[in-house]
Amino acid sequence: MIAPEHVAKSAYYSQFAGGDKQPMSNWLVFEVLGVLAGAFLSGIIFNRLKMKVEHSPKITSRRRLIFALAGGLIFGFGSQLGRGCTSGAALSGMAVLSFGGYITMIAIFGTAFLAAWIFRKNWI
Amino acid sequence: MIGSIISSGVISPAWDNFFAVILGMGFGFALEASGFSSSRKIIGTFFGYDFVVVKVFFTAAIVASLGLLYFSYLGLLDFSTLYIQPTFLTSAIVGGIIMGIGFAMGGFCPGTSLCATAVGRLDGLVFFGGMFIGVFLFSEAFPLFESIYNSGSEGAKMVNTVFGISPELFTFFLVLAAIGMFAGAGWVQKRVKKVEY
Repeated sequence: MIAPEHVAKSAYYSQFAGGDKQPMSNWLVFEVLGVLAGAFLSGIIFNRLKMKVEHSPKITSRRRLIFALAGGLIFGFGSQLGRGCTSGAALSGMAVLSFGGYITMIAIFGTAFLAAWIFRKNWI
Repeated sequence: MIGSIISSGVISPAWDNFFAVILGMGFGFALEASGFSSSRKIIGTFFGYDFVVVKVFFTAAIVASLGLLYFSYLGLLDFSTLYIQPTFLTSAIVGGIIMGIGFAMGGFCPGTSLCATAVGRLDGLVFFGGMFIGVFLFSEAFPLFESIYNSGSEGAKMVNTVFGISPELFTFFLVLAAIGMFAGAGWVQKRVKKVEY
């Protein structure tokens, strides 16, 4: 661990690490490795393995990557505040009929519909 | 791990990470095979030229809900042992709004960015890297957001109780809504200009 004292003091990190907890042995780390492997397998089967930056012909790769970085940063931040993302909070929540899961789903997709219009020049 | 087979002691928790990899592989395969490694396909939902996200998302939700209810009905599963994500209304809404903006800008959600990375999409990899920065920033700034994070707590509230109906009836309406949505999506897609990607 890089900064054990900082982790122990932080109210947020201490849920996942510090003391007896090993962050890299969290089951989520293993699930992520599985997702990568599963998607790679599907990429082989459906012949989609290719190194490229996918973007609308109207924008440059550079612009696409800047927006991907910013989008990832914002999504990552929101997923912590919302206790999970489209998969962990919305989809898994909906499966067990969690009220919070439905609210998260509506908030994500509702906002994305409006925000997509603002950023439409990046996509269409 | 969160799971009723494991929490009921049928399988030792030592197997957690093994099952995490296997379940992750299934999830990753399904996402990639559905075409979710392409940001322009995903984002099509918001412009009406490709509704695969809506179709896959709602199919998964109704299959999972129906499956859990049937397993419970057949006595194979104790619904009360399931982990029901607790509801924190404020953080769910505010977090969801922030995620929606990131979604429209980046074209991925966390799971799909991983799939895109796995098949060599560099925009997926960059999105994934951005997420680490976002999570890091949130963790460091947590004291500032702690009150939002913890407000509006309603416990493990189930959505059917909001409407005062049974889980089965709610799921029945959900299936009807999904069928209506699929039909509506097909109708819209036929009328929207095709986008090549």
